[in-house]
Amino acid sequence: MASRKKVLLKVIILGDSSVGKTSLMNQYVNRKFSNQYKATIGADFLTKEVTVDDRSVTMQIWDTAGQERFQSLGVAFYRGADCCVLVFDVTAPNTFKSLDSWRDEFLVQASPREPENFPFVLLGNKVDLEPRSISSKRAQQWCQSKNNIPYFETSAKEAINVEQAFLAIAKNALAQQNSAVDLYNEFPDQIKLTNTQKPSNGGSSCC
Amino acid sequence: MFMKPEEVLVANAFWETEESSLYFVLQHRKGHGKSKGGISAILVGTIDSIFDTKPAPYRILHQTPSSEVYYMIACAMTRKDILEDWEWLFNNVSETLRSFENEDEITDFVNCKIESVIASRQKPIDVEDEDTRDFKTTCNRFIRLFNLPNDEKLVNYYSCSYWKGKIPRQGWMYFSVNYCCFHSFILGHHTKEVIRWSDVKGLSKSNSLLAPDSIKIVTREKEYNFTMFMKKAETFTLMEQLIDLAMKRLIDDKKGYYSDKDLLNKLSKNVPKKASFLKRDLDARAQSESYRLLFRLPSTEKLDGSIDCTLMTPYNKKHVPGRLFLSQNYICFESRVKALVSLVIPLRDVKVAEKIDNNQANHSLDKGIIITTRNEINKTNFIFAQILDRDFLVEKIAELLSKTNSKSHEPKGYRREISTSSVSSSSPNYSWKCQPPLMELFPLEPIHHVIKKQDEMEKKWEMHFNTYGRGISMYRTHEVCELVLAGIPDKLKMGSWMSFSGAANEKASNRGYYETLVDKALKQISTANDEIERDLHRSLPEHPAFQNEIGISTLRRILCAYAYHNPSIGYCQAMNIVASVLLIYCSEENAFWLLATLCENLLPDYYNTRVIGAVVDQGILDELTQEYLPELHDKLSELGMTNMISLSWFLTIFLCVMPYESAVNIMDCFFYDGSKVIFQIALKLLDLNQEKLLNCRDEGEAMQLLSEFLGGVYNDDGRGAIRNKSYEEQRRSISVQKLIYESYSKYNNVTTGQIESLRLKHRVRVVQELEDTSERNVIRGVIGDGYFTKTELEELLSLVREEIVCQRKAISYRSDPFLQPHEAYKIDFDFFRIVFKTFSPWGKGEFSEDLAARIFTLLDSNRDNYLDFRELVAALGLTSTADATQRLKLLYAVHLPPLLSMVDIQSPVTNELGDEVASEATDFFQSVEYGIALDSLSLASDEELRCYETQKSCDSQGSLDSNTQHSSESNLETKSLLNLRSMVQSKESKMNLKSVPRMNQPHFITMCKNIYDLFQAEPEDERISQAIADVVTMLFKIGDVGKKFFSVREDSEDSLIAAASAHSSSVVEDLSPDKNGNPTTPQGEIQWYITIEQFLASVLNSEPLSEFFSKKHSILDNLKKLKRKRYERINSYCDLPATNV
Repeated sequence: MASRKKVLLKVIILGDSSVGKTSLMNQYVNRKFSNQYKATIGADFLTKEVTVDDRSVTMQIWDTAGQERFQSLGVAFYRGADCCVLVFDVTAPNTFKSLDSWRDEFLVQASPREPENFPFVLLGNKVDLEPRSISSKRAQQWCQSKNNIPYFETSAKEAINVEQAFLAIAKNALAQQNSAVDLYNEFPDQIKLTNTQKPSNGGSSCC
Repeated sequence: MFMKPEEVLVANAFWETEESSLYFVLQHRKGHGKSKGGISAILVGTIDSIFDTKPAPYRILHQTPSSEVYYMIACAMTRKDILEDWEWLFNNVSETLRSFENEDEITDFVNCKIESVIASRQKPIDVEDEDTRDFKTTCNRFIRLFNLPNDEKLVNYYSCSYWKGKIPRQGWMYFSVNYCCFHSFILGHHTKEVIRWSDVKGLSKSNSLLAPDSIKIVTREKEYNFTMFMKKAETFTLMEQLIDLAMKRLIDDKKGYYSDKDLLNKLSKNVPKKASFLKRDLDARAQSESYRLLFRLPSTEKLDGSIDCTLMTPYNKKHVPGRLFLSQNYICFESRVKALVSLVIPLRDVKVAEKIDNNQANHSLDKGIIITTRNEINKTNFIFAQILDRDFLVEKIAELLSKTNSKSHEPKGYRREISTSSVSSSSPNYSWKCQPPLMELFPLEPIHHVIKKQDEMEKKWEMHFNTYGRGISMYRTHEVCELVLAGIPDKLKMGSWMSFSGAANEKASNRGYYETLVDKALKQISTANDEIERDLHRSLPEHPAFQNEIGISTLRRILCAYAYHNPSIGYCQAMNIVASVLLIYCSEENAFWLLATLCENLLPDYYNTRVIGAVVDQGILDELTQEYLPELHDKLSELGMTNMISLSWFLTIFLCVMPYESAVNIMDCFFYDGSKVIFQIALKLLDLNQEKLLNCRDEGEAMQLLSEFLGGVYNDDGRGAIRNKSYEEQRRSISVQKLIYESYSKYNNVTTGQIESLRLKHRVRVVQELEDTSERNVIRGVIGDGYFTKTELEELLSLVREEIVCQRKAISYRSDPFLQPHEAYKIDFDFFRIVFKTFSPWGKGEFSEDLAARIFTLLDSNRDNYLDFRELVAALGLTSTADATQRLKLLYAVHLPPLLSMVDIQSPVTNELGDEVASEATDFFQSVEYGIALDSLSLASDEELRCYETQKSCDSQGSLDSNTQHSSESNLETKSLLNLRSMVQSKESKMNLKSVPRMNQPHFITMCKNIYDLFQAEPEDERISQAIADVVTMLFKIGDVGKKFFSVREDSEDSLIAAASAHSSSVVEDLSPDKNGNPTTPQGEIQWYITIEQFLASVLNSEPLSEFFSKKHSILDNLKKLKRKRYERINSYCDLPATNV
């Protein structure tokens, strides 16, 4: 692995159909909400330059199709992902139920080196809507059972928590990438190079 | 004996004529009846043995004096028999024949007569009986040779060599519907190979030094090379066909092989008769398929026949040679010169077909016919000439016409199915009417130059229509192709799409179907309808039509109707986008039929539950890229993009990746030319971006590049476009007209035929990959249970899979997202019994079958009489690898009611008594449940139970409430089963052992017998039987002690238990005197019992017994054994000898 001048983070957004994956991505990248998105077929992606811990990185956000029958086709897109964002709709219980299946499918298809420590982030979207059917507590319980996944409640429409959520995503992705680089870097000078850029050592810091 | 008339080419070779009349000849085989027949007799004998035929020595032929063709109409083994037939012919037929004028008529009459004689003699005559006798002999031999089930159908057999290692073995290859088999017998050495079609992963022709000119079959397990084919091409095609059938069956149950007698009868003229019925059938199928593909006809259309002729083309006053095709609803023509002209005439439009009188001056119209259509807009005549068999053709057309006309008054096709169910009676809740094209209701702001351009195009098309005709029966020439490439004007899109795609045909044969469909579909509550609802506003939001309820509800109707019409697809995202664009240009019903044609014919399997078609085509694009753009292909593979790019392109025919007003022009070509167009366009798109793509560093950059390019494909002539400011500012990459033109000119070599054969090839790969994935998922889900290793599970799963495939069932994939993967692999009791007997150490004894049955019932958690894979693993694991305590718990549980009822102990027939005992057990459980109910286990089972209850109540709604009593009883039974199940499967459950019911004496005795029985197969009988005797005696004593205890405890216990036991003891009473001579429990006295803890403790204390119950059994060896036996098993289902291990 050559030294990275430009850090590229690959983030995959997964979740059932119409939980707001495309909207979240667009709200974050373009800071606008539209109700004119088409259903995503295959996958779509946007990039955004962000600064994480004084480091400028490019986030490549991949938005995927949500319908169940497309789940097994994700494999091509999952390759090399640094972080996986799971999204559900807080007003639709079924979208919460299928989180397990999305997570499992991702782990199987992307087969990251350390499945246990691979960073996931859970977003409960559409908090602006009533009535809620999945409480924060229930979502948090789920997160705890999965090795303490960070959880955010967002609204792509009202731009609630979107920025914070993606910042956490970026941090986790970066941490993942650094740990991966550490693992595979055998040249001392390159370690030096990453060390200067890296503020904190140690694997995935939980937020 | 008379037989179905069959053409005989050489009438005299090997045969000697005995008697002959004007129309009939009686012959006997040369050399027959003479002890030494000389050379010819020997020759005949040799030939008979070579061809493996033993023809009957006597036969009668029919022939007319001026004809060369003989028909064999009767044959017999003895001279007496043949003479009887001969006389019968003389007495009954010969007289009548004189009244005919024409010799053809005579032949027809004779053939008819003979057939009717046969028909009356053996009434239920099966078409399959048309298989020649020697073929049947081969078929029987084939089945015996490979130990296949008797109903396995042999398709054909070929001579070839099989390369085993480095040595070729000459032998015969047999194809049946499910298997490809090879057998050789050389120098006393048998070689047999059996390959299941559904296991084939790849099929290719190869030419290596080791195996020159060979066919290679790759299966899930190994590779096979076959060489030295006599008819390699035919063999290969047949293999492809059979594999494709197998794959389709894996995709969808309904698509399996069903013999189509209708088709065979039709095509008997076109297909050479020598092969088997099935081979002929498959050939006929293939012919019909390519006919339908060529002319875009509905999938029900079956080719009747074809004939050479010329077509008069009025636009250039020429006579074009070509071939005329006839099927039950269409007359089609294709020129001999490719793409010069083609024609489709639906018979519903035909008014009359007449012969043209020969004109001395103009011979080009000799033997001609004229077909007049009744089309109001466009009354046209079509003139065909030079038809050799004109009379026959005209007759045939007239016959088909009369059928069409009589049919046109009654509902046809799908309509029939729907109209039978009472739609009309139910009051329509939704009032709606079919909408016209939405672009008419929601016109966009007019743009001057676009309107001008559209008008110009319309004029061109009008001119074309005037010369070449319009609608379906237009003369399709290169002219129209050019017009299509330039884009069909918006107003004419609907008509052209309908006729080019063949959707017009579907619509015409299913009038009124759409309305009924909508009425039913909208009332339905289904996942598909929910999914559709979510996507309605996410289809074409930029168009004003879909910002309005009118457009949205139209879209809802068409999608719901389609989901209802084709449940195997239901609703797939991407269909919404396609449908919304169709609705812009087409009226509602037309849009529906276009969508149907697209989903079923043009993009097969694209939208099904596993999106197989799209993945298949992705593979094809990859292969084509490698062929045409090798450098780019390498780059794309390096970036890992080959499976990324095309999905959205293909699924929406570029509609969601390009501005839709541009993509509709691709639609034009797509409906005209079929799915090859999307490959041409895709290749050209990659080609145009090749340079830039080669410089991309990562897949993101490349994707961005492509998506920007696609977003910039513009169409200045499209009126459907939303023209706002951004259109002018938008980055423009290429005009869609240019893109289409260039992709046609550069990738003209990509043909429909090529795509179809590539689809065959890639479908095999994709289906097998999916099978592998789903199997991996199953194993992943089950391995956590800890009974077996991964290898063992894999082997076991492959066994189950084989069983399922064997029974010609598709493995039903999870259409329901909440269904677990292992639930797709289910086995019934018959198979379980065999597996249990083979694998389980408990399956060796005399009573093992009863034991198996009870374990089956215990573990069948949803009571559907199938064990899913996880349950099967549990059943085997609990008896062979689980720790001793668990095994003993299982043993104890299966000897408790309700699994082992009192009645079972006496006789295997169950009646009400069983239920009572069951309820007794339930009472036990209920009494203790309050105490310890709240551990997670019983929570889970409660949930389970609730779902059964709802299921039950649904069931019982149908039946009357008379059996509520019964259903509540069976609920109790369910509940006690659930408790037993969770007890058996839980691993660390000291606590819930208390809740396990005690066992009374009769049950205990049965259990003891069964324990003895388990050890029958064990070698160290002595030690073990002593141990058993000790344990049993001890338990008996404990039971006696418990009896005293019980009476003391009785008062303190819940009254329910007392009531239950009192109740049950009256039942038990008559049965309890047992063979062991134990005293009968007197009425009213408290019963003998032991508890599970006592049972566990005593057995585990006995060393030989605990040793036996702790011994781990690997199932691998047995698995291999059973696999080898699998064919025998199918044949002799019941008497598989229990293997002693």
